[in-house]
Amino acid sequence: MAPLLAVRDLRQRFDVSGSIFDRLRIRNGRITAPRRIVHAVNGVSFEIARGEVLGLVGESGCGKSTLAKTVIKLHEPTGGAIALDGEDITQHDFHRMRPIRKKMQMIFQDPYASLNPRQRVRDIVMEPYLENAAGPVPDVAERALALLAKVGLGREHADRYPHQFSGGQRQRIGIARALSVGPDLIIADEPVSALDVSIQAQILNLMMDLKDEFGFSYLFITHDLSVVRHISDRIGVMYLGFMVETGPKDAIFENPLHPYTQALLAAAPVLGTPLPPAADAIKGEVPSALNLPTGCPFRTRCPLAFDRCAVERPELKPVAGGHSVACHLHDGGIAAA
Amino acid sequence: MTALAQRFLASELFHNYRRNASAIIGSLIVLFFAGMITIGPWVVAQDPYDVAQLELLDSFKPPVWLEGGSPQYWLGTDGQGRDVLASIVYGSRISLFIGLTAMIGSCLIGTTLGLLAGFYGGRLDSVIMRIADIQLSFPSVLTALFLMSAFGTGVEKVLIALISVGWVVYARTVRGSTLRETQKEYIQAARVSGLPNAKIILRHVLPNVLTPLIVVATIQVGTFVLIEASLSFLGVGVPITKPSLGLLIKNGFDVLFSGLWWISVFPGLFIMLIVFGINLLGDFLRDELNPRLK
Repeated sequence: MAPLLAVRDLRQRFDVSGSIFDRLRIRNGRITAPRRIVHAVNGVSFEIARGEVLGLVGESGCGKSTLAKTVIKLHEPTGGAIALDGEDITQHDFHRMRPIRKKMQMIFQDPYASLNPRQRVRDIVMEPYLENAAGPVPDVAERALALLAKVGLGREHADRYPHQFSGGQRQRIGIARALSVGPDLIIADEPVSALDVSIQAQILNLMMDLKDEFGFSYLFITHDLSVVRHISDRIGVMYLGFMVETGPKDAIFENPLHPYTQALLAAAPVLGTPLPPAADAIKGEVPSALNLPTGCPFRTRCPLAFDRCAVERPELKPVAGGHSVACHLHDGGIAAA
Repeated sequence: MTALAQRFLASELFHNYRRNASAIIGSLIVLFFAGMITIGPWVVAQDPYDVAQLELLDSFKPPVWLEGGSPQYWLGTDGQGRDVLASIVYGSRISLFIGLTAMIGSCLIGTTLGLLAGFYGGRLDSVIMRIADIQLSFPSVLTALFLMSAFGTGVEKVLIALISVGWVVYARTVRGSTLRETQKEYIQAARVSGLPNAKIILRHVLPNVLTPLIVVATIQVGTFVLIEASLSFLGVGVPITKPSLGLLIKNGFDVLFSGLWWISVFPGLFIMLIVFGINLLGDFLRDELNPRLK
C-alpha cells in the first residue's frame, strides 16, 4: 500500500539578501551584489504510513520546522516532491490545496502565539471545519462542544478567549482545531516544548490517545529525545537541513550508526548515570546554513571525519531493516575496514 | 448589554480611569462639547445665521459682566449683532463635524492601505510607504494649506485636504502592527485552515491591530480641529456661510485691537478647551493601551 505521505528530495531555500541596495558590496575594488541564500532543507526524503508516528529530531535551526511547514505548504518548496495519499501536491495552488487541508493539519509550537487572542474558543476550534464545509453547518455549536470534549475541555470553556487559559489548555485548543476536519495526517511542530514539564506528559498522552481513537498519523517534530522515544514508531535525525539517519525507534536508540546520532543520544542525560565520554564528542558550532560545508554536512564537528567526508556528500543508504544512514563510515567497504 | 457594562466597570481601564484626574477632566470636557453640539442649538437663544433673528442695534455688545453688557448675550455680540455664545455653539458643530469626519475618513483609508502594505509586502508595500514618507516630510498644515489654495474654500474640500494629510499616521501604525501580527503562528494556522487572504486580513489581522488606532484617532480629532481652524483663519478653509471656530476668530480679528476682544478671544478659548480635553483623554488612553508602558 502506498504510504500516506511520501516526501522525495525536498529542498527549501530562502533568499535573504533583500533588495539590490542591501546586496551591494565592494570587494577587491569591484562592485558586486552577492545573494545570501539560506539552505534550510537540502534534499530530504521520507515516508509516513497510515497510523504511524514519525519523530523528527535535531538541534535548533536544523530545518525541522521549515521542513514541516514546507510539507504543509506554508512555504512553497524550492525542489523535490510531496505526495499525500498518492496525490502530488508540490505545485498545488491555493484552490487545489483546499481539499488537501481536510487531510493534513498542523499543531503549532507556541500555544501563546498560535491562537488568535480576539477569537472565542468555539470559533477557533471550528474555523478549519467551517472553512472547508460544503454548505451551511446547522450543528456548529454541538460540533464545537464535542471537539472540546475530545481534548478534555468543557462547555464552560467554549465562550472564553485564549488569554483565560493556561499553556497546556491552549495547546488542547490547538489540538482540537487540528482535529476538527478529521485529518489523516497531523504535523506537530514541537507541540510540547513551550509547556511546563509537568504538563508535557498530559499533552503527549492526549495526542497519543487521539491517534489511537482516530487512526491518523503524526509527523512529530521535537528536539527532546525522551519525547521522541515516548511517541514515535520511526525516527528521523536531521542535521543542517539533511536527514542523516532514519529508522525504527528501537534501531535508532539501541544501535545508532551516524556519529551525530550517537553524540546526540550520548548527550541526553539519564538520571543516576554519569554522561558517557561520547557526550563531549560534538565540538564547535553548527555551520551556517548560508554557507554549507562541502561533502558531509557534519564533517566539521565529526570526531571520525576522514578525507572522503570533505569531498563527497554521503547519501542516505539503507543498512538493515528499514534503518538508513548517510555516513561514509557505513558505506560498504570502509565501514568494514 | 448589562453584562458588557458590568465588564467595563470591573475592567482595569475603568479602575485606572477613576484614579486619573486628568483623564476625568479630559473626558468631562469632551462630554461637555458632545452635549454642546447635540443639544446646544436648542439651548442658546438665537440662530446666528437666521438674519431675521439679528438685531443690528445690539451689535458690538460686550460680555454680560462688563459695562454695557446685556443679559441676553452672555459673551457679547459681533458687528452684526450675532450672539458670540450662539456662534460658538454653531461653530463648534462645524469644527467637530469636520474633525470627526476627517478622522473617520483618514482611519478607513490609512488602515486599509496599512493592512495591504503590511500583509502583502513587496512592491505594494514600498509604493505605499514611500508615498507616506514623502507626505510626512512636509508639515501637515503646509500640505493642507497648499491643497486648499488649489481647491478653494468649502467644507468637503477641507475634508479632502485633512484626509490626504491624515491617512499616513494610520497607514504606518497599522503596517507596523500587521508586520508583527503576521509573523505569529495563528496566521499560519489560518492558512493551514485554508482561509483566503481576504478572510485572514479581516478576521485575524484587523482585530489585532486596532487597539493602537484608538489613541491615534482620539488625538487626531484635536489636531484636525486645529488645522481646520488655521486654514479658516487664513481664509482658505470653510466658507463664510458655515463659520467654524477658526473662522469666528478671523471675523473678530479685524476689530481685536479696537478693544472688541471678545469676538475673537472666546472662540479661541473654546478651541483651546476642546483640543486640551481631547489630548488629556488621548494621553490617558495611550498610557493604558500601550502594553510597553505597563
